Amino acid sequence: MSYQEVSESSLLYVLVIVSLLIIAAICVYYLLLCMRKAKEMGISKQKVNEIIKSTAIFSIVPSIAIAIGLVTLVIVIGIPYAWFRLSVIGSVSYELMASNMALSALKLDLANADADAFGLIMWVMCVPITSTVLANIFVCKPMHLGTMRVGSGDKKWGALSQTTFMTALLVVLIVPMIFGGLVGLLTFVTSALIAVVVSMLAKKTGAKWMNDFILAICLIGAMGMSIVYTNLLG
Amino acid sequence: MKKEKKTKPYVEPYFEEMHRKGIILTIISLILFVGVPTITCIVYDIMPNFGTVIATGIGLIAIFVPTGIAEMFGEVPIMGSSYYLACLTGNILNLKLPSAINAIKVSGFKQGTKEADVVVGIAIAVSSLITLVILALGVILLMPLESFMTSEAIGIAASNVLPALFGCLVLGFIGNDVGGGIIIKGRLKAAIVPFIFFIVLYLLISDLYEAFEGFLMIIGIGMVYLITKKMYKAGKIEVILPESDSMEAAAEIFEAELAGEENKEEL
Repeated sequence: MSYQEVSESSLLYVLVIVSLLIIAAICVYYLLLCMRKAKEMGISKQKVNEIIKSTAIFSIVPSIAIAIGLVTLVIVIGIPYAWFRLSVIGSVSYELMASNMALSALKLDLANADADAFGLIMWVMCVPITSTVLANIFVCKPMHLGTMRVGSGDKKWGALSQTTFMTALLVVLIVPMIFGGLVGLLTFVTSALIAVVVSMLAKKTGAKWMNDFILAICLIGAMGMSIVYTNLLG
Repeated sequence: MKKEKKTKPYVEPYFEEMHRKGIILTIISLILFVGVPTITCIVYDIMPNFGTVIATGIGLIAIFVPTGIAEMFGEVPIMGSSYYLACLTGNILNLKLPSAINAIKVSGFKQGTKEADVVVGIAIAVSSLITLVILALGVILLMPLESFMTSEAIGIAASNVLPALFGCLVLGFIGNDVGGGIIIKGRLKAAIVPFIFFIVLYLLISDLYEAFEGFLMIIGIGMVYLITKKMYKAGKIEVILPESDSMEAAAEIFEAELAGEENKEEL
């Protein structure tokens, strides 16, 4: 059997579709569970709806960016498995690196790879990242509850110490975005500027609905401007 | 002498339940993740040797397993009990983490509370569903939209999604209001030294920086935490609690003082 006969087989399509339907059901279940918990905590329906609306609008653009990555991955591992991998644990960069690593380890390219190579690629993509998910079962709860207890003796320090995690995370993450190149820096600044302008407009005009779209507007605007910056700066 | 049994710290039933359910959902999903390659390989008789899988993936295991675990230190405090779902549906840095930060900001709840935890759960579930739908559409429209999706302009825009995302998110994080009615003045001063440190580090080892981001998060948390504590104790960072919390805090101090007096009397 050839590589492509397995990577594009109907069996794989069926397995992937069934698995993704179960994953979607898990997400719906989790959403309903959280909504019920929010109601029990007295969080207003309006606030919950605001979060759902804001997240849904904002998630569209990054999800399209993930779908663009699908095109690249499909070339290497076919449609069904690429679709599966990007819908669950992985990310485009990881999946591409994993599939290419497996191909080069076998000293193969796609033109002469056989079905066995596809079997190996599937497992090489699966094992490393699945081990980190497996680790969650043992590590996530103690880590989460441990960080919540930080500063529990002093209420003021307790409130302040909880903010240190997000501060540190943002500091580490934004450095490569700002110093990775001029286009990245300009895109970052443009996004921040659009956020300022839109929130000022929302405040001035009293159009509260605008706040739900801030992230989506910033994303589309800044990503659009990144094309202009790249063309101008080369 | 009999060793005194260590008492387990109290955990709110909400967190117990959410973690238990998160673990169950993780186990179900793991069966799916492993099930797809297992069934395919059995049916087509292409099951690879386990040793070959490890030998081929050793580079990935060496990079991704420690990095993934290290990243948890930065991501778990923000995503809380929803981290299980975030990991199952992937794309954490470019979608789930910004969604969680946005939900905390929009809701106005203090990070680390069960209210913040539940709104983060809603956000992560919604963003996961959106990604599932868009990817399904992407598969259906793969043929007709292939030329558009592979165009140079779309490629440039997609590669700049992270600065576009974090530009507006960081701005919302700069203010003194940290949610739950809590105002903290001067907390970002504690981030100046770590920020400079990571800039220098990035300029020195830019190729390795992103590969080791998980470990850098641990270093960053340690630095920001210690500097913040020092500045708070020196009075350089001011925390203003909402009135009800301030009353509770005052009552706690009073109770502690009272207990101290009673202990002195007993002695």
